[in-house]
Amino acid sequence: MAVYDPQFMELAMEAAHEAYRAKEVPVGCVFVKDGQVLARGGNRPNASLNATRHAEIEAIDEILLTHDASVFKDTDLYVTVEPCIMCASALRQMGMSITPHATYYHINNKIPHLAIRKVFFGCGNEKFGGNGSVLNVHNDDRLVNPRSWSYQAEGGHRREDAIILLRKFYVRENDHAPQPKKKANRTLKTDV
Amino acid sequence: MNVHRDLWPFNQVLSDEETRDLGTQPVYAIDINPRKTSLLLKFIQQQWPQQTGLEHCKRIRKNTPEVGDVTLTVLLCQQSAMEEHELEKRLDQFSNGDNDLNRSPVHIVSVPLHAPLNRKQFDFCKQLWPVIFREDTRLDPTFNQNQIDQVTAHMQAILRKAQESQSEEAPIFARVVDPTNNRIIAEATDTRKSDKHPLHHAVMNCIDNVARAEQDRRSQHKRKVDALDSPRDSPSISETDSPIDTVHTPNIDETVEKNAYLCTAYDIYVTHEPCTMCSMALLHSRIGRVFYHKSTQTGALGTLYKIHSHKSLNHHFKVFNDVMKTESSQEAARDSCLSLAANGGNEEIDA
Repeated sequence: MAVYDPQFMELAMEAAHEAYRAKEVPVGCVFVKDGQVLARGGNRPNASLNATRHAEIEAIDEILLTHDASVFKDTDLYVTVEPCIMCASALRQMGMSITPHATYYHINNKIPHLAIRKVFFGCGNEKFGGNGSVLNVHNDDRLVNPRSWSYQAEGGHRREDAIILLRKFYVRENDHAPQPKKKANRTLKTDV
Repeated sequence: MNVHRDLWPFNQVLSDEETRDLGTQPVYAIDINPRKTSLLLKFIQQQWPQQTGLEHCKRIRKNTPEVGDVTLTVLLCQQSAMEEHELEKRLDQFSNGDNDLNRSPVHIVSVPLHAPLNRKQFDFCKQLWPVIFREDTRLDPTFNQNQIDQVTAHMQAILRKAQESQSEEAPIFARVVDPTNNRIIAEATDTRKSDKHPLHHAVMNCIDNVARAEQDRRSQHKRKVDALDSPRDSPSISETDSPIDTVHTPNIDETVEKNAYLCTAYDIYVTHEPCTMCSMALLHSRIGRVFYHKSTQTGALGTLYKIHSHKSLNHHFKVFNDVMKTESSQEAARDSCLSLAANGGNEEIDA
């Protein structure tokens, strides 16, 4: 059973603040197994010139340096913002060893769950969210195949903190944008 | 000269809005003599100054029977707006003295529920009821023969690479091309098994390679600029050599291309329809166009989702599928390198 533990969302918030300081969209996450942090990640698309380097992908890559992919089926994700559609799909595909013939083994044994165990997120992501806001990638059973399984996702943890941090980012001028905008007149709204 | 859409060796994957059955809705109407038109329009303007949901329908249909006088059928309001007896009552209240409409009883006509977005949908709905349709082809994709040849050459090349691959990996291959000069920016194959990494799909790997290429380009450029800024620090350039060097060193300002922003305006060729993760990765990367050969059961650019044309998402791009599909199945018998479609039947592949 996956039970929400606020200390891990605090660590995810710290990672989000680090991303903010690095002038990235402030999203942070930690992957947790048996009460231990496997890895933490912050958004890095600007530094990497790669739009796919989201917090979740950064942390997944770090974990796979030392663990087999099967570790994820007993692992929970704490992330400050609802995973985007890309990451939501990635999390469906984590949980099974990538070895030849593993596919057939698991189909024949009908193992029902080989994705991330559970996702706890802060605020929803109205633009890109894949855990319910735009698409229900996490539990769309049409997506099930031997390498892609549904998982549970639960939002609303530290939602206000995550939103305020995102707003702080978006009132700041972004010199990475293709056409940077002047935002001197924008003010930070603090009501959520 | 542009090649007609019907002759392309691929299909465009249109949005649901462009391919859907437009549906119908019931609308109240009455028949009148054409001389009563302005009177009835006055009634309509009074009753429903702002009507929504009927913007795409013409208000009036002209009926020209073989025998008898011309009549007009005029739309009043959607059936959901009120009961029929209420509408009859309002028409009767209006239609007195000089305002006599001399009308038929209220009846219901079926009109298209949604506006047509292309000629096919227009042809369907004009049989139901006259509609307003301004064909806008400005954003439609076009290809001349040279461009089609480039598309098929790239697809043929990656199909061949995928087929010739001797590895245990899924035979999926991707290539990113700058269509303005036909330059290959990056290529990648699926490496899920060799990397023991479930996310190393061909498309994700290819996007990583595009980012690496851009990082290299920027750091090389930075080195050039640094070398020019401090020529005295560099022992290889002596005072006597410097005039020659100046002549032969390209002007940095001229050689600086605009920094590439992710995959903006690039094309990607993929042997298989990308999965949800890869499709969204392409959207995040602002890809221009996607060409794929073979649909997949859990594909997200046409099969299960249409990420490229989803209304809520902030970037839309054009997708073409079945690239080389017929050619390869015809040639498959002779050329085993192109038999990708044929042997994919048993094991389901996700790309």
